Amino acid sequence: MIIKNLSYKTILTDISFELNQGSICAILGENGSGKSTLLKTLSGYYMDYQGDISLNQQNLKEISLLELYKTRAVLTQNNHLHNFILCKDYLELGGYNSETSDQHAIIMRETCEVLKITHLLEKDYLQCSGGEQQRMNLARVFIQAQLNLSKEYQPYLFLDEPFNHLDVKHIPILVQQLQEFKKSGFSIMVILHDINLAYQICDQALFLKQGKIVAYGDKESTFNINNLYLTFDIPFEEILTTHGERYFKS
Amino acid sequence: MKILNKTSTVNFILISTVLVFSLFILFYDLKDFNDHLILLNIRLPRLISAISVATILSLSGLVLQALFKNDLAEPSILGISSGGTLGAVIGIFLLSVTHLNAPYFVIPLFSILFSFLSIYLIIKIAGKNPYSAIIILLGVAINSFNGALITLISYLSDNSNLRNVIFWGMGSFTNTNIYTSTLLGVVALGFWILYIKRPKVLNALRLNDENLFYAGFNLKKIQTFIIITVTVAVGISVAFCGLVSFVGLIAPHIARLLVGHNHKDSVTTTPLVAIALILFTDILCKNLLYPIELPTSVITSFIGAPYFIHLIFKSRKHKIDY
Repeated sequence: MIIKNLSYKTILTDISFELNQGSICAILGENGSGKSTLLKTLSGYYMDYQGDISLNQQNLKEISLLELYKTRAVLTQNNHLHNFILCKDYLELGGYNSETSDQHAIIMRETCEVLKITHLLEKDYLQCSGGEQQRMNLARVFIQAQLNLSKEYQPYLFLDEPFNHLDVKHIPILVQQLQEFKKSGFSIMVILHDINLAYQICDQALFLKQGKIVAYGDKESTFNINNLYLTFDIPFEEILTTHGERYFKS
Repeated sequence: MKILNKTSTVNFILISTVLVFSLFILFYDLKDFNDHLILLNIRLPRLISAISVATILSLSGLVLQALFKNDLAEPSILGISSGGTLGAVIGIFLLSVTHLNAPYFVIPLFSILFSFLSIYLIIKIAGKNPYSAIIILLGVAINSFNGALITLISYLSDNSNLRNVIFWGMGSFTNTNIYTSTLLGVVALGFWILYIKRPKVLNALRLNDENLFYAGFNLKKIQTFIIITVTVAVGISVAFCGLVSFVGLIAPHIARLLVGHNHKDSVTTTPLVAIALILFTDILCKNLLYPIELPTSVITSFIGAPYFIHLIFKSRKHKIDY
């Protein structure tokens, strides 16, 4: 995915970068810096942007809805439902536009087992807790992603704060899942607020400030107290543990 | 493995009920079983149109509730039915004023047109976020506007047409013949088939606009499809049988109570509930104050209005925003 001089309204200005294949890219930035807008633009939801976004050598604006559906799966921040729906019916929503229906049941069962939501399937979505709902949303997105994993397209995953509401028990499960998606060829862009978690899981990082890129690149070169200060306006401290792991403390 | 699941059991019971009601309506108090004239020219058309109108209104309620993500949406609350009535009234008035000998299908066309105008206006005014309470409030406005115009036209028209105008406001299956009821039946069947093939789309409407887009659905297309099919079906139903209120509201709710929130099930159960309800209402209308026949809408409103209030209280209890 190649992004050239992307601008959107007054929120994003002149953003250019290239998303590496089969890697995890973390987007970091303060509230209102345009992280979610960037993700929505890359997912094709905001079409009235300036600049060029090319997805698998195709202009994003020329890709059909169904082709987009097969190329990328998106987790949004706002997944509020206005009415009741059983969790198992909710999960099916992710795969409605896929042709491979025989695979659907297997993928659905496996995803549910991995995210530990099998016991919730007969429950109503609205009666689940915040963390349970978040795992349900993740499952729906992962099912769509797995159903459409094909050799024709380079697949993408765009996740807006996937760790929201998740407890310490479920965070490692999701980290593991993201690594597995990466292994099977997905390019993943993920918005995160926990800097150390981001450092732990990503390969590249993109620092955003008021709709502009502060730094983009390999995580070892971009994760430093200087970039963090430029992005968040507060001083950070780098801690090196005895095992050689880097931590950032504000 | 269970052979009969919950949905098929519910549907089976409903179909049996409908059959009993239908036989009662067809053959009750029929002195001579060879009395084909009454059976074919009065009772059968009446039965077919009652079934068709029930199907059209309840399915419209179901799909509108899905589209607007609002459990109170239905043709008569959103002003689609009153738009259809207004269209029919305008049609009759224009025909009587211009003394044109227009063919019979002109009035349904007027109904469809004004049904469409009413809902189109609501969607245009509601703008980008046509959910929550604003839809219902706009429906109230459109309803009173349509009502005022209907009153004005009935005030202006001469006596013979006035009676027709009142008929349209009350809803009744008495003025149908074998041709109009066949047309209604075909429309209702077509309408039902269109949606029984698309439970996935109705389910997907649970998602918000953004997630709907990511899941590969085109909201604009879905919206256009639903609005056009609903206005055509409701317009035709109103043109022939007048305004039957609240069926579109109650039936989907009862169906959901019975078989749950998946449209795969409720798309079949909803019309069955509505048909059973309407036939029961029709039997009541005919026999409650015999020999006086009550208009259908009187009974449906008697049941529907309290239910509407119950829904509002339930929504407050469960903190569901309309």
